[in-house]
Amino acid sequence: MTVVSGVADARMDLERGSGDNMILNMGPQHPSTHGVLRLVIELDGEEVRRCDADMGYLHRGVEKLLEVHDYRGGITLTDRMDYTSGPSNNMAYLMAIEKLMGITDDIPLRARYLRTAVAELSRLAAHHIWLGTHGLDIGAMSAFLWSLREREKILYLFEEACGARLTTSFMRVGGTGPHDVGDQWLDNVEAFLNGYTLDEIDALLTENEVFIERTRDVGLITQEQALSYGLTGPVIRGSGIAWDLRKAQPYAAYDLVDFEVPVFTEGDVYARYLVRLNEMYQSKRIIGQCVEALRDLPLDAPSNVDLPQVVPPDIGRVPVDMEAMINHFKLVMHGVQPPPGESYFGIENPKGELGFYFVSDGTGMPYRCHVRSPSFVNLSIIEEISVGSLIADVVAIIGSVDIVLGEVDR
Amino acid sequence: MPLGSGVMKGLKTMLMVTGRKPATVLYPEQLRDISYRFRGQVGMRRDEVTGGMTCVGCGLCETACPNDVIRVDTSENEDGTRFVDRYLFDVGRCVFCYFCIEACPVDALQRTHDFHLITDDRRGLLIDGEKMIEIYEHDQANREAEQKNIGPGAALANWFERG
Repeated sequence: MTVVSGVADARMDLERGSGDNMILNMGPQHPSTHGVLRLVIELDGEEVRRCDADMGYLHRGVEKLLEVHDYRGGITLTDRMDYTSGPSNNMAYLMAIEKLMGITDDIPLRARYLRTAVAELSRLAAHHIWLGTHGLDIGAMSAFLWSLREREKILYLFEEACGARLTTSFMRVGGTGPHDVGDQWLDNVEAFLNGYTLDEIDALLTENEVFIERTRDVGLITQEQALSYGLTGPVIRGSGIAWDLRKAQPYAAYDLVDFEVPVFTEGDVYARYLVRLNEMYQSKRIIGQCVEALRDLPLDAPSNVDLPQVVPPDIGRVPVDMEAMINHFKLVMHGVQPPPGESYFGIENPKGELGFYFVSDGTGMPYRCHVRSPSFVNLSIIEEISVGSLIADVVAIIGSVDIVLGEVDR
Repeated sequence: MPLGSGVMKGLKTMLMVTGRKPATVLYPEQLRDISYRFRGQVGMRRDEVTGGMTCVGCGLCETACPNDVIRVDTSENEDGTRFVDRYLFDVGRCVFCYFCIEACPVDALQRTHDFHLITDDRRGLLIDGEKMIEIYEHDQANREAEQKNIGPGAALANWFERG
């Protein structure tokens, strides 16, 4: 029997088992692995001796697909990676293209504020999924139902703005595209914020003794571990490192809004819970400020960059204006064509740093595309921190790292 | 804090919300409001002059589609003008991104709110232009009842919400 690689060798060794220890397959259908993650766990009694994360069950080849689609067609693929926060993924992709084209500074203020608001709304939606399922794994049913109720309202707001709930394909290169919003949407966002009931879920879980017992001092990640594994997002902020791309490298309108980055130093599951919970309150603050700012902007303020090689002309002009028609046909057939070169751009997704790396050869399709997905990087820590914990705690650890398998496998 | 006070706080919250109206919409009997921009099945507008498809066969939708959903077959008349032989739309592959509608230069492709796409046969998902006209006109008839849900947000001028 030939051994394919060191990793496969180690896993086969683990699967064969050693001595009296029990080998447990958790997943890929286990509901608490939040998708199709398979964990091969060696158990001594109830204690985890070794843990091996096996992934790839949801591999769809998104990076390769991005290379055979034009830049616009790729938008539809990005919201299928981290399907809990589609608009945020779309924005990371679009902003990476904008950086490649060198038009980042030309994006109008209206589009920047709307992107910020929508990214924070999708952060709330993603964190509600996490809050609900994390609570559910530990045994809190009400938090799950209430979380999904709040998330449903956010998805309705997405539907109002762009027409879809999950696979949003939100915005286009150079601005908001066809998805600019009016006062009605802003009213609805404000109505949502006024009726937002995170406090109730907070009251259910944060001081609950059962919840604290299950999460405190479980799955400890030290600062050194967090840095050496390259973790990002709430996981690293739960270990006492204040690293947030929204503050470190402000993009969109994050330099224009006022918010704080919650940091907790304990490094356990409870600290990561508190980080995300406080982030949700901060997101609410940011959305409120963005709505105010969007209201202050005049309705006829541009929402797309004024570059004919990026943004198509008004469709009403196309049948009657020769230049507009040529422009429109050129843009649909060849797409936006960034100059040859390469660029990397990362934004703070709900899970951590989501980055897109593009190599352009000057045509309408990227020559090479790589996605730096936060879930994939954060997943690697699970193997190390679950060793020594109880089998029931592994569920809490997976929940606290908050992975989405669609993004891990891409 | 005494042990159990956190659990009691949760229970108190539970009691406070017991009288609240349930958020659930019982789907097959009730439908929730669909927002104006909802992306359902793509429809086709009927041309007032010819009575057939408005499509001129430029093929932009075919190009813009990221999933090869659309196929437009065209032929030439004797005088050199073009006409559409056949317009095929494979709903089974469609991801409802509406890039085709954004691309259409003559407003032929149209938004509908039709999301009941169920068939008992996969071939039922491959529809042609006539069927798309039917879907669009059926949706327009239903839209009258829906008008009250649209609200002033729809008045926003952009190239998507036109006509």
